[in-house]
Amino acid sequence: MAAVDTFQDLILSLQKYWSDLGCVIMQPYDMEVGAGTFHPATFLRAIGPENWQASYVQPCRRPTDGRYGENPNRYQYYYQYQVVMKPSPENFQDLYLDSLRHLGIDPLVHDIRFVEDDWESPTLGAWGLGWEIWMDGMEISQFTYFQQVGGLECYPVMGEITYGLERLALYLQGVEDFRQLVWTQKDDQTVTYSDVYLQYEIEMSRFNFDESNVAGLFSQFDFFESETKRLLDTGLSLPAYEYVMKASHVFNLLDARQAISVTERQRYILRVRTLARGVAQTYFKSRLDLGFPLADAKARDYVLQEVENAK
Amino acid sequence: MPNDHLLLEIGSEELPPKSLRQLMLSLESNLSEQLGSAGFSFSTTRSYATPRRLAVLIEDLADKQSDQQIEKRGPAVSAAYDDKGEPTKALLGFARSCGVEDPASLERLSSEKGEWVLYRGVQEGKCLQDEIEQLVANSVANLPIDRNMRWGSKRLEFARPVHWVALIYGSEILPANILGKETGRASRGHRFMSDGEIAIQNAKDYPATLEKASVIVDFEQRKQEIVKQLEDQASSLEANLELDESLLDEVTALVEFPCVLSGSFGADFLEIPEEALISAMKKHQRYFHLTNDKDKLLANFITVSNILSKDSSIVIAGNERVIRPRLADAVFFFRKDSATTMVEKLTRLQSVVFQSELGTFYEKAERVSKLAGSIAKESQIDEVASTRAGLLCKADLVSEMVNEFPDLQGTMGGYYAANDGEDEAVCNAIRQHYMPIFSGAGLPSNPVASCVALADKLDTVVGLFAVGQPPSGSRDPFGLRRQTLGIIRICIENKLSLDIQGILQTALDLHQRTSSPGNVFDYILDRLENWYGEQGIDQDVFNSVRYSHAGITDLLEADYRIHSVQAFRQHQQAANLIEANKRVANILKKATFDILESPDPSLFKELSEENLADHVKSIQQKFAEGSLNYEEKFLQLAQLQPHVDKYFDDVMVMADDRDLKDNRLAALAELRIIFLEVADFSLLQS
Repeated sequence: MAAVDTFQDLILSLQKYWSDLGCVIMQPYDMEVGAGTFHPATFLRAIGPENWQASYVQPCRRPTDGRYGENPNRYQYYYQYQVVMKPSPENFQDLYLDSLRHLGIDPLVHDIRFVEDDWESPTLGAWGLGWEIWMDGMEISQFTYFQQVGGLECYPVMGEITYGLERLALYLQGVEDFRQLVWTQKDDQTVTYSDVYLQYEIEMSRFNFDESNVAGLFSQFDFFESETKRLLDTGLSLPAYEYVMKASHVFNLLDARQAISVTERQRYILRVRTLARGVAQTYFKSRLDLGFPLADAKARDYVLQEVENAK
Repeated sequence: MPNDHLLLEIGSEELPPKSLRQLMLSLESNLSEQLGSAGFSFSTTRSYATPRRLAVLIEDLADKQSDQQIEKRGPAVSAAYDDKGEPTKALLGFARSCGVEDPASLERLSSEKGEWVLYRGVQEGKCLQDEIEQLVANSVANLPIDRNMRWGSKRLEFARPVHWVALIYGSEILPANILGKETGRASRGHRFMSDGEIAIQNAKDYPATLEKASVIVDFEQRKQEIVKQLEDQASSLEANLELDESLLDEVTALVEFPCVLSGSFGADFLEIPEEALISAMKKHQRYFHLTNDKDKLLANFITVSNILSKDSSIVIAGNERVIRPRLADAVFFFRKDSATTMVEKLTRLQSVVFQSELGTFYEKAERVSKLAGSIAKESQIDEVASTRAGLLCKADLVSEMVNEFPDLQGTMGGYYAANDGEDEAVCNAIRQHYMPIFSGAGLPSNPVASCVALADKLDTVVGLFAVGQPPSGSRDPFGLRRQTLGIIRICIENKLSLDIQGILQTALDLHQRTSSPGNVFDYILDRLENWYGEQGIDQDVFNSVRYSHAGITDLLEADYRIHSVQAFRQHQQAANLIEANKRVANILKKATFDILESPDPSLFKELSEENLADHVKSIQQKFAEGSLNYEEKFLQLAQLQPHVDKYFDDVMVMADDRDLKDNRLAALAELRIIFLEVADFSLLQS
């Protein structure tokens, strides 16, 4: 196969690989999120017995990770490539390793390992077991079997793969620093990651650490929280979830300003988690009312029975 | 009965490395216990584990249970036959259930309580292949898995998704369904260096078969191989290898085919504290670090890879590319932390809760500061430095570095305090105040650090007891056992002479709590007893001091006495002293009398009474002079034995004359008091 020389080739290759395996190719969610997991195509689709296979690029914002563009591989804004399969296939690990081969990575040259990294998102009330995947010591992907989301048991289990696109690209292009990554190249015209994002990274680091409006953010948090609750009362889980994502991002911004004390921090996390649980339950109920149309009969019957038992 | 080896191998996705060894040993002990209690005999067992498998080999396992003698009690004889002597329905039913045709052939069992019908028979042992599925299922179900998981659309649970189960007896497959898999002889080799399934032809060939497929399946063998390769790398770099045992176990559990490689990073990173670099290498990358002959960290690292790469220079280059940003992050944290002083960090502790009922870490720091000060004062140690170090010792808990690497707490505080220009003794004390960090670990190396380390631990222990949270059973979230042991070791090994009860009261006052410090003190003494036990001090020796007249108020002083008693009891005179003391103690225990200040010599009737009184007086004088050490005192006391014996030969203590009796008891009580001064010898076994 053709060498994956540029950042955008990497994305296109992964899209093609997972598309051929039957995944719905989604687009990034058009809101600020801390991880691809927040995308409704993962978070909400992990809930309930319905089948789902999707993959997509998701830009992620982690305000505290900003280093003003000075750290070679730590940015406050970066790209994840997300794959979710539910139920998780028996050969999920092999599918992942084949995707690396598809990118031209030879596992007989590189030291590729699955290193235990159990995943937990306190704000999403979610946890799963799995690994970070190391290539020559660098974490290039996360691999997780979801066990619980929004406080609800995951059944069937969704398997999630998250590729760190920039880190993978470092390897494929043999460079040391995000800034040196070739985004695209045509004849003698080259556009680098630095050309696309460096100024943004520097300005956003300053914004996150020094310039965001703390008082304004606090009041935004309260607004998003109360709106989520109001929307949940109307049964609108999807709009409510968008406000949970907003509340979560505002919390991350406040955290970057160290505006939330260590004790308070726990309470804020709990507030977001309470909202996420509310969304999960409301969404579950809405799919239940529809009769879980995308589920296999066996899984649907099991979950319906569980619902019945809970009454 | 034929014997052969049994192999069980459970193949899965990568298992959690920190519990891998434990899972392996548990599977071995569970399966051998299951087989043993089911009556299947075997010789030895072995266990194996890699990231992708757990396996047990049971050697010389019988293919059948041994036959069992069984006895069943039937109905009482009175109920077994009717008036006419015919068998009743109850007897016929019982006989049928035992497979006996003629009820008259059943034996009888008689006892005081009556007579019953008895069946004796032999139950033929069951075959291994009929029983193995249940026995393996039981063994697997009881593994100590921290967190089980589900996968796909299955309801079954295990540590990680299961892909195959091999179950082979000799060369035969034992068919069963384990963890949702039909058993077979197929295994897998190394994930990349071996292709597809490999067949295990015979259970005994298991390790060799796997080795051909690039898997060293024996945990210990793999570990030793790693050690050997690590040492080779270190010696080729002419460096000292810092071999961290827990890291070694972890990397052993992360590879199936270890290949040790080394790389380097820019020497300019060595400007920041090396502990931070070591933590970044160890925690994030599972790298081993190296030092030179002056114990200084080198700009090299060693990694244990899981492949014999077609081009290991690529693997090394990749690892070097990873470690730089990791170390750059450590530099970033260090610079950010250094931008504020420890005093500024201290104020941020006002929002960090230590324990909900005991306030914030800021409040704890204030208490520790005062307590360290008073310990220092009592021990004539630098009070100003101890107070200051106590105040600042927790400030690094809000630093970025400690947030990232919690095990650097204290260590980073020491660096940041030095950066602020704090006194060297203060910096050292901050650095060392968590010591000892585990039982048997090193102690603070200077007096100020000892004061702060003691104060921190006493504050925690006293506080948690005061709010009703002493350790109970296995629940000890604040590590009070470990901290109490720390208190003991610092006092004794670092030779701090302290009135421990007084200090406990001070600690309690600082908590503004009123509950009694007595239960904490008893807890400390119980841990102390335990600690002496581990050092081979006899329990009765410890008790003889604990329950002596002087009791224990100062751990260091008590330590001298305990060691003196322990040494003295080996002495040939010891038995005499113990005997004399027991006689006196026994008689006093039984008597009720009015205590006289001292015996009245005018009431002495026998020469041996006067004689004993004279000797007691002379010992009292010698003791009062204060020049004798404990052992010399014991020798003096031992010399009393013949006089005590003579006294008991000649004197009837419990005389009819009340005055005479009281006077004699008074003489013995006085004797008992000098015996008890150092230790209660009557508690020693002779």
